[in-house]
Amino acid sequence: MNIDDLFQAARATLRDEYAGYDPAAGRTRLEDDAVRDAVTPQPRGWVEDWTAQAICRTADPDELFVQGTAQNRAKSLCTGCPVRTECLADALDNRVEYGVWGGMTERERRALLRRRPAVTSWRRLLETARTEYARATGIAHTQPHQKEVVDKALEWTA
Amino acid sequence: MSPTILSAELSAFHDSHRLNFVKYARSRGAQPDEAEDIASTAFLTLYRAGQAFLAADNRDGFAFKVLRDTIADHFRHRSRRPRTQALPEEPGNLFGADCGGAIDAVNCRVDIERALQALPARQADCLSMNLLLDLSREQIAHYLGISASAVSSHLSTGRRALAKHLEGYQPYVTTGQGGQG
Repeated sequence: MNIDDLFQAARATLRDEYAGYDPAAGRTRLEDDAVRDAVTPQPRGWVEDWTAQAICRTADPDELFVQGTAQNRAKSLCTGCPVRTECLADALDNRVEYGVWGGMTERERRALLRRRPAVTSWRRLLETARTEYARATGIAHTQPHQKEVVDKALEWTA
Repeated sequence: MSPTILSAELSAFHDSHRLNFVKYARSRGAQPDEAEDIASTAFLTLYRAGQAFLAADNRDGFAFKVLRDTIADHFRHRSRRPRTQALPEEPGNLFGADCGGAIDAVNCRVDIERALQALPARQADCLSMNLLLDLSREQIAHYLGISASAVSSHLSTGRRALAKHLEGYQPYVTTGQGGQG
């Protein structure tokens, strides 16, 4: 069998499969997708000037720079902070030693740095993980899911 | 007339190219429902591109690039997902079909798709669009953003390469009586 015969047979199946194909259904779907797209909040980009949006900007610094178990109470301030991931990345990249940053205590951050000594840019890693997480789950505002974002980043660097 | 969020230009473009896009996705190995999803995603990307797409010198080429990227993304994501069903058993040989019956004809198309994958991307695109999708050289040239003569050249080289690749073709017959030519 020569190439022309082969292609002719293959073309016939494709033609039969799409005989009477009406693009109207596809157009309706595109309309629906476009409307959904217009009303769905887009994933937030990385906030460079994150300190201006941090929840703790008006809090008493002494509340965040506490010792021992008081740090776990201090962490609750970070819950729902819109720039939690940015804050954490900043603290990890700059090896900030003291205080609660991005919802993690000193001890938790030290443990994270020890577990992943090869990471050269936590900002790049967490930003990519957040984008990927938002794309995979369809959740645009990922701040309340920071744990999942960090878990994904750890999974990649394992 | 019902209100629409799509511009008339995008709607018209969609209607005249959707079938080609779906068929092209099929020719790259996508299942029917996947091909529809791919085409829809590509058109949604074009909608998001807005003026960048509508003002493009070659809208066909712009859209086709988006389609190719969407197909690549689709298969990349699919390969990461766990398989939910077993893969069908591979036929006895790569190019197995006498293309006589309906099932054989489908096998034949799958074989051609596989054979095309062995060619350089441009040649494979030109051949599949010309021989499977039945598009003219001018249409292919628009989609690929190259000249019609370049398409002719790719077709001619691609056909020779494919013929060589299909040398020793041994048909696979669904009745189980393989080995017939």
